[in-house]
Amino acid sequence: VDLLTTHEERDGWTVLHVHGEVDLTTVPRLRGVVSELLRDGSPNLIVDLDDVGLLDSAGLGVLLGAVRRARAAQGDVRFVSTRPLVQRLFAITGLYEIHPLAASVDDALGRGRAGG
Amino acid sequence: VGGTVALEIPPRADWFALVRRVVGVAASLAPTLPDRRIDDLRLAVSEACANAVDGQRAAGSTQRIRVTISVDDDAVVVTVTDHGGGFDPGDVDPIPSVDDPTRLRHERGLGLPLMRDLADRVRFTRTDDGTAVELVVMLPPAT
Repeated sequence: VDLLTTHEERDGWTVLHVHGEVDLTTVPRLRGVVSELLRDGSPNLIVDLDDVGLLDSAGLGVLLGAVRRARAAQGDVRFVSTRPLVQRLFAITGLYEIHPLAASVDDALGRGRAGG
Repeated sequence: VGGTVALEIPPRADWFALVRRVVGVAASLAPTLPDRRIDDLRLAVSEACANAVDGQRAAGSTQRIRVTISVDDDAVVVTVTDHGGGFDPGDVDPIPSVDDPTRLRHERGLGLPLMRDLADRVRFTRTDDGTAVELVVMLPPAT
């Protein structure tokens, strides 16, 4: 399987779990799922990238786009990953400054309850 | 004693996973290269291939893209050579700084900065009809 996504609702957040490799071939699917979730569900989205082995610049673009769309709808996006590559990509792109990576989905939700 | 593997792929993204797999296996032959550096290299190569495909689409070329992977005593070197007519990496706009609000609108053009950050050295060479991108990851010395 090159890319698999599942999602669930938790505490008013949509949690999207992404598994596999995000590159030019799979990025349209990720973009579609993210758009659909932000359109039909809560504007508060948690993207779990802990099982993502590769995330290319097109995939990062989708994540940046998700942040923009969620904010436009008065929502927010939080990201989860303990992977060094994902951490590094967030640092390179500056996403980390705005969106620190949570170590787990529970972590991401917990920060929400603490008010930011 | 090193070795070189060469691949020639059509200018299509559905071949990138194969390229990454070969890069990963070849780089793992370098005994001192940590897994995270192999991940860096796999992604950098994927970005270089994406640029190559973009360039060839713009130039209308369906020629194969050549990827060579050399594993030597001190480095792993991957070269991606396209027939996209060439481009000047200096012409690519830098991405806005972190505190710039326009950053969130900058959803494309992250490929070059990623390559530069992920590899220890990136070199762009103009060829007759395209660009050769050389990505170098240095091997840590054996302890």
